[in-house]
Amino acid sequence: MSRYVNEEPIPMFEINHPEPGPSRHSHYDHASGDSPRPTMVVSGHRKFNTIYAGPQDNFDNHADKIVAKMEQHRALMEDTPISEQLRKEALRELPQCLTMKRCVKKKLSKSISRKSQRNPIGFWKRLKYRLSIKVAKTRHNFKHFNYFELWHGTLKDIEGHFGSGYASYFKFLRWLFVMNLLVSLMAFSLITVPQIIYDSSGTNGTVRNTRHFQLQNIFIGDGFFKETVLYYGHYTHNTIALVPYLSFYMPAAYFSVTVILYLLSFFILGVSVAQSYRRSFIETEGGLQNIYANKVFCGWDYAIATEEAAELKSSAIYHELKELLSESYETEWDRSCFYKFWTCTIQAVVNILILVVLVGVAWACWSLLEQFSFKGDGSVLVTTVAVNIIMMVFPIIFNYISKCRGKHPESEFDISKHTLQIIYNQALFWVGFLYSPILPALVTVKMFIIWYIREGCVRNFCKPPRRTWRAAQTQTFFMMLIFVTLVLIVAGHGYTLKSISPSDCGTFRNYERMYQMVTRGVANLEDDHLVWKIVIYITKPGAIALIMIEQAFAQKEKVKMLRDMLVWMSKDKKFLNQMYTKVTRGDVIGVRDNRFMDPSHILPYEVHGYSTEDVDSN
Amino acid sequence: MGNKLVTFSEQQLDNYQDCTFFTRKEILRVHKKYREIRPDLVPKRMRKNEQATIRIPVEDITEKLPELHENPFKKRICEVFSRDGKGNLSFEDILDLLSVFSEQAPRDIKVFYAFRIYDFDNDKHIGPEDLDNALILLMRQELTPEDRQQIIEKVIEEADVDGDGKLSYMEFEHVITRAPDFLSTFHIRI
Repeated sequence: MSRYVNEEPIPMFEINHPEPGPSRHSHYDHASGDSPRPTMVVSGHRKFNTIYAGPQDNFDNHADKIVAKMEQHRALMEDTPISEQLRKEALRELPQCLTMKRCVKKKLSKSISRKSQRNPIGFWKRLKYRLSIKVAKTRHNFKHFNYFELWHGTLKDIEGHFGSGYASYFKFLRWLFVMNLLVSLMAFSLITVPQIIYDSSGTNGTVRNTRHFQLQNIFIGDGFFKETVLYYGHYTHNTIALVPYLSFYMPAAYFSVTVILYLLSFFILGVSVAQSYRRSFIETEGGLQNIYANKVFCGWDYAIATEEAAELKSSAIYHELKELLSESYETEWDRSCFYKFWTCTIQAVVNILILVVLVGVAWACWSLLEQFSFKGDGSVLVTTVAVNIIMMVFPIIFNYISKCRGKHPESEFDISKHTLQIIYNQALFWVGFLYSPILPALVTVKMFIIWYIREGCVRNFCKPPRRTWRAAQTQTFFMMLIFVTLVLIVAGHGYTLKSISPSDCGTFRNYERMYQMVTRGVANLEDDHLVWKIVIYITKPGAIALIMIEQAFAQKEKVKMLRDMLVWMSKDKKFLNQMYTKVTRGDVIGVRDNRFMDPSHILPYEVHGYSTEDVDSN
Repeated sequence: MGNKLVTFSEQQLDNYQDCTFFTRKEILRVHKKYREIRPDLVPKRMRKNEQATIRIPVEDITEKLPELHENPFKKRICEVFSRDGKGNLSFEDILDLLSVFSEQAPRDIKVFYAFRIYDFDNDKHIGPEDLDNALILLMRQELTPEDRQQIIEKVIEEADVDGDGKLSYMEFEHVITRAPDFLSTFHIRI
């Protein structure tokens, strides 16, 4: 999180309070009668953590000290937009009260304007600065694209009534909704609208819809819909003149818009997954064994705002702590070999069973598709209906099986099930987008409706959860799932673009392969051009995979080394602490060097051998 | 929701934006909430210095602010963010409080204040008494003192590195930054 990465390593951040009374910085309104005693005051941001000793200071003085410390850092004191940004960040992260921060800010800007008066900046520089401020602001707005305000009231309400667990589902849904909305807007305006304009212009080459609308067309999507903008087949392969003298080549537009939107989704999802993984798995590794500390310090959900939810949360923490305590009391028999063997076999059998069922279902879907999908009449619905029945029935079966394993399925709002449903929905979106540019709009509308249905469902039919929901790690898992889905779908589409020849209708009908739209139509590259040889050589999947694997291993090694260093340092501190007390007590004990160097050995001296008064480093 | 030029001046809003993790809209929302607690005490305009001087007593805040009402540590949170140490908060104190709990606040500053909150006796360490206090507040159902003692021992065992039987800031930070759910639970939406 430190923006000051290149500077000295982050020093220890110690907190010392002047006295138990005033809990923040030095008291503004003096307590009368207090004799000034040496106090040490926190001065804020880690980078500026000097400890000031001296008589109890007043407000202004303390602010001056903070400003003095900040002035020592040249990067903060320049009159440039970057510097201003750094100053703002430093101010925000200063752990002082707001009044102090405003005071510091005022003093800082006075000091800076004094400095800049001494060296005034020229006209061009000022212009450049103003421009870069504007650029930085737009970048900032883009990064923190504030879709947080969408459905904000509902989210807050659900958090208050049901806790952060349920709210995480809704946040995920909202995020996907915004992404789909943007994709659908772009696809609609860049592909569908030109096609509509072209159709209505009536130039030769347009196809008029000769079919009539019938009600059953809605269910299968054929008939009337076959010749509308709903399907790829309707899009023209011609050049459209949207505006006089400006031509619009439809195949190029179709290809580039869809490919770019897929790649953009891929990129955004990839970045989100990486950030999420880093936050919930890498940075927290080693923390999962602090079960009690996590439960006590991070157990309470600060978003809860109703009595009912608070009661349930409090009793959930109570039961979980009791469970942890009773697990630690378990007798030897429970952990006997036989018991472990039994649980292992049960788990293996159940997993194999589930795998067999899944394979069977996949095979059944495939054969249904083969048999029924190409007849062109209502029988195409058979697969759809079968898939939906499977999705409704099998979770119940699996739930029943897992109950036999001793798990307790929730009778409240099933976050996992519903999240998987929206992931499935998203997968359908991505599969179909290449062939139907209007599909994003339809799916976005569907998600909009889903939001309100789920919200109503939760409010009226569900109760708050009885157990704690591990939000951070399950969110990361779901994001990974959706990312893997996208990767597989993009791979599938990549294969289609490369190897399947387009049908006789649709916008690519003049090309043998869809990717030739780019190579022939735009870049005029033939199939055995040198460029292709180089590209194919570089992008051989094996080569890329090898490079990435090697990178991953290198990073892992680095992380492990840094972690070991942390352990070393803390053990060193412990050891030195005890050595110090030993020495000051008069006994000097020899140290064995090999122990001192190896962090994996326990320390030479057991902590419990000493009473706490000895180990007082203050 | 009220013309922002009425409640605060441009300069004031700018200052608040620079010193907290909030946007203009959120700052005005906080003011509205603050005013709703005691409309008789808090004026609509805050141009002079009312935002730093007028304080709402802690009993009103813990009873009437819905974001804190059900929180077991509400009194302690108010104490930590108050200037007088007793929990009476001015507007700037509450803005600061909610800014630290917002989604945009980085982990480090949340850890800093979490430590202050759990350190009930203000002795720079989280000792067994602090943990005992926290457990009593956390659970409305009573844990027996023996259970509490067990849990306290386990927590100290997990987190204490230098063996002094209590948690310093470093040890606390070491544990909490590794808790996967810290950021998602230590969050109040405004």
